[in-house]
Amino acid sequence: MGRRVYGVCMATVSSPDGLPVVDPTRERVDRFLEAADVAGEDSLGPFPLSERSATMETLAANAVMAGCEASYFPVVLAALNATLEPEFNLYGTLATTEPHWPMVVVNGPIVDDLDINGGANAFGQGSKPNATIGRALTFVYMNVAGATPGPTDKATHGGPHKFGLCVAENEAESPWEPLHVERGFDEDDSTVTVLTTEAPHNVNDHVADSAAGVLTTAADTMSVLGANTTYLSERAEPCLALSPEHAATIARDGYSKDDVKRFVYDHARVSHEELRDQGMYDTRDGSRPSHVPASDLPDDAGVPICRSPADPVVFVAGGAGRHSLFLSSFGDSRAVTRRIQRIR
Amino acid sequence: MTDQDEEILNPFADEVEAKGTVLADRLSTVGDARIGLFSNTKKNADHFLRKVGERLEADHAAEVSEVVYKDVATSAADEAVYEQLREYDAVLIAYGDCGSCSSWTMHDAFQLEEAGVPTVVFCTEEFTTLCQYEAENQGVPGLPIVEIDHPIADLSPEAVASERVTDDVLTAVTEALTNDAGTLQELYKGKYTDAASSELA
Repeated sequence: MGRRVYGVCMATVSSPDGLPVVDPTRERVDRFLEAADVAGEDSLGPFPLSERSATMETLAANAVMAGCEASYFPVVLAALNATLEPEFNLYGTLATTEPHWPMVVVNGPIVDDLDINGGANAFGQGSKPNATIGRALTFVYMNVAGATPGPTDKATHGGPHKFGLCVAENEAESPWEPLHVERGFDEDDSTVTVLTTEAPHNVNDHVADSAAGVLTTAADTMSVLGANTTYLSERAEPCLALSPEHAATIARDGYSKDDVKRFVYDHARVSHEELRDQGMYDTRDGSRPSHVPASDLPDDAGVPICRSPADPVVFVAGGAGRHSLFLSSFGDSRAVTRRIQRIR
Repeated sequence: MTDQDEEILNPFADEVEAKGTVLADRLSTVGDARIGLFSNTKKNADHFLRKVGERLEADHAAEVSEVVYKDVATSAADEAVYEQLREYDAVLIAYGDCGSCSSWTMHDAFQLEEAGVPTVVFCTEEFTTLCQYEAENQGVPGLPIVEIDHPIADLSPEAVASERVTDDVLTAVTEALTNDAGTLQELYKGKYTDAASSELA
């Protein structure tokens, strides 16, 4: 028997992202299924946009192609499952002209077990699990969910994060409780938190020596006329990935993570006057789109980028250096955290 | 087992089985019908709809509603909006002119069709493939998607009325409201997806 192929000749079809892929052989796929302790014929249910369901075997084939190790597959499944929650709005995210795409933040003991990078260059190259877990999600969104750049994934520009974006929280260097504990899980749980994000924007502050100093720079970076969260603020969860150094400076002033979020809510604002008739808010000819939270405010009022002080998502990541990152949300999307079910 | 003998697995999902969803019964005539105008809040969608409504009133004596809005283009409409729209004999939805708003516009149309309300979706030419891909994969391949020129967001309301609400658009709307489901399926199935079929998963 020659090379057996289902439905597609691997030798002639380009890979989903244009980079070389690993052949999803039966032996490799079976090892992935065993690592996650799932049955090959089971599925997570239908994926938008295609409304097609893929078996675990098919999902594993995509993770193999993306270059994952078998031990990463439980993380991939937990992340895929999390993005299928209705409040995540995968239906809108995969089709949007915006550059937003799912990002995975991993917490808990699995970070060390799999050596997922939450330190220096965590959002960049150099770590196999970081590079391939996010890539596996992208493959599934393309091969199963039907998000084809051009016809159905309508991103105007896309972005490098759409090749796949997965990081760990740098829990060891965080002065606060980890993201998954804040979101209701035990410290010993391993979890994924999925968020919609565009490519990260730097928050450079080399001179601030106080919480208010660092967070003033962060809040200014987060409140710009071009960000989705400035307009789709009703459900937005703007995300701030603080570096360990910035986090330490903030915590030294006695700030809890709730205080950080409150500062962002209070200070990451655009004045109503500046906001009107920009971006996604038009009052000029009696037509929608409107900005419901802003419309009743006076001109000089600051319009927040989310509905409440509880909405910003804050975690610690990165290595040495006085930089943090703003991860602007799609806006009409809520972060979802799920326990990673199985580790072998 | 040598490399040449290895079984390679398929990374694609099986095509979705038709759910048997059918289009709502269409109108016998546009004349005297109560037509709901439904904006997804995209820029100029309401101006576009009002002009289409004016033409339907003038040409067919249809009874056309004020524009009904949902809260935000990037999600489904609230149930209260669907409830309001279910009171009409047919609903015109405008429009898809970006990715997420196109997807959720189609979702809104599916909800109304399933509730027995015939709908027409307007979509700019850049997004008709996405809309029809979703219609075909959600079992409504004949859902009428009327194509309009792109872009439309930076036009004045007057230009929207004169340049986008054309006679061809009005003819397509009338056909979409009155042709039977089988005819609409013939008219629309693959109309915007066939050219991209080699790229679509």
